[in-house]
Amino acid sequence: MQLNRKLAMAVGSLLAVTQAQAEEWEVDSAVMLYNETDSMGQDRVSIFEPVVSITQKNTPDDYVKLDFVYDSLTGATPNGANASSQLQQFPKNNPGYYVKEGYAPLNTNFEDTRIALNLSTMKPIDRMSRFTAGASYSVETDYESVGGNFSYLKDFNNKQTTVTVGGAYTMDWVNPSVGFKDPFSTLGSSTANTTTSASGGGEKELSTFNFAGKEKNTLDMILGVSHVLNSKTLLNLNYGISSTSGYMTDDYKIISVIDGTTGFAQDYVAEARPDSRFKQTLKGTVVTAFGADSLHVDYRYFWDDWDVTAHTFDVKYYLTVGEKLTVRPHFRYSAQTQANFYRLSLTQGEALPKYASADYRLADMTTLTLGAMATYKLAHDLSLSFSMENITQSGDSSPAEAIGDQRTQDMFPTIDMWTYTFGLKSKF
Amino acid sequence: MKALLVMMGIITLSACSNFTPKDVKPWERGTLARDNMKLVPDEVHTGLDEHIYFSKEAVSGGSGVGGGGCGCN
Repeated sequence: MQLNRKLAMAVGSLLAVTQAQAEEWEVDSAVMLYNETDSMGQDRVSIFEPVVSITQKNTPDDYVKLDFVYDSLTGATPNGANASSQLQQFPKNNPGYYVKEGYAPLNTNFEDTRIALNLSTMKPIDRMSRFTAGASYSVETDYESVGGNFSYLKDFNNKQTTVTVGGAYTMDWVNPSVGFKDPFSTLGSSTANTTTSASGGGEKELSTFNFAGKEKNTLDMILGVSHVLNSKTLLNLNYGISSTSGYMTDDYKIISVIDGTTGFAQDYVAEARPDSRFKQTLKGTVVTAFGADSLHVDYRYFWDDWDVTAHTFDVKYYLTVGEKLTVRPHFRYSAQTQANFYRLSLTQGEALPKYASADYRLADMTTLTLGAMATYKLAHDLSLSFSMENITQSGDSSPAEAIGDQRTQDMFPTIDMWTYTFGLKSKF
Repeated sequence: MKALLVMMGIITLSACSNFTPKDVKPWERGTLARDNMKLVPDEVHTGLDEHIYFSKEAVSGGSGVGGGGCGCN
């Protein structure tokens, strides 16, 4: 009897080992629909984004993965100018597009396509260490990016603690369809202060492996520690740095130059951003089980040399409803401070700063996400999922620096985003 | 009221046991091996979310290295 039990255990272990080493293919795919409106009732960007991730896995520590992302964006995006009680024309003295009184100016000709590929692998080095390596490439009509990354993971303390050290290097080329503008040059001015983009201004075709335009290079490093606290809880702490140098100005964005008394725009000029940025992040994660459920709590603190700081909280709860259904509510809250060169507008007659941008994404802002996902297991190796999320971004609609007419307008319309994502995951 | 207090007591005790450090043997890792106990259980969904935040906020990073750039408007 005793021998039979031991034999059964031995066979069980052998089967488990065989199963663990069996080659397995996993396809994880999703399609996201994204829609954005503002509190003035204006439709902004719409996105259609299918994603496919294919993994060939031998063990959890030994796999090769290929991700493919297609991103199609259309609609309108803020041009950076302020709302006004007067009809506005962009450019001011040339035929272009008009924005009605009381509306945040949007550039309605926004259209882009993005294709991204990521190849990554993890391989064991010995029983207590492994590495990951990856390469990425992405292309848009006006942007191209290529990068590589590597990380080393070492287990300690009977595999209860894992230390990760990693790095990535990314090279980006920006090539705006509107051309490169001189800092603070007047929008649409006839003076020769705009250089045509390398792909030819206004071109909307995807062109791969050009590597033309103005360059930006980013070096990322990360140091992480994961620790199994007990049989129900996992802790993770990451410290990351990211150093970027190169062209970071957004040539699609402009700044209103207002009259110092009336607050009405007298001109619209190009923005100018610094050519270096050093970012740091500290992120802690707790994953803990409550019966068959699990709770994920993240907190990230972010700070950089543009004086942006941010606190981000993210909570997800995986609620097991029966054997086949999982429901996952999601809450995220992020609050950021503005970059030191963020300006609501520039004032006519005042000395120009070295850098300035009116891009709302660099302003004081909060982002709130509420959402839920349901995953249904159709079979042992096939599951379907659907997620719906609402993201709201709010800022200061009546900032203290507003002058004259700006005080009668909404200087930061709330942005409302909805995402609907359908997913399919299978193993074979 | 009594039932509520008992329930709160049970939750508190359960949460305490979740955060008590303990040596974990290989055969005690069944719960930790579950899909919903991975640091990122839904990689594709999370990747899509992260791309939105990367495009719409001035902050990013903290989860690892890798991925491509984006000239997000």
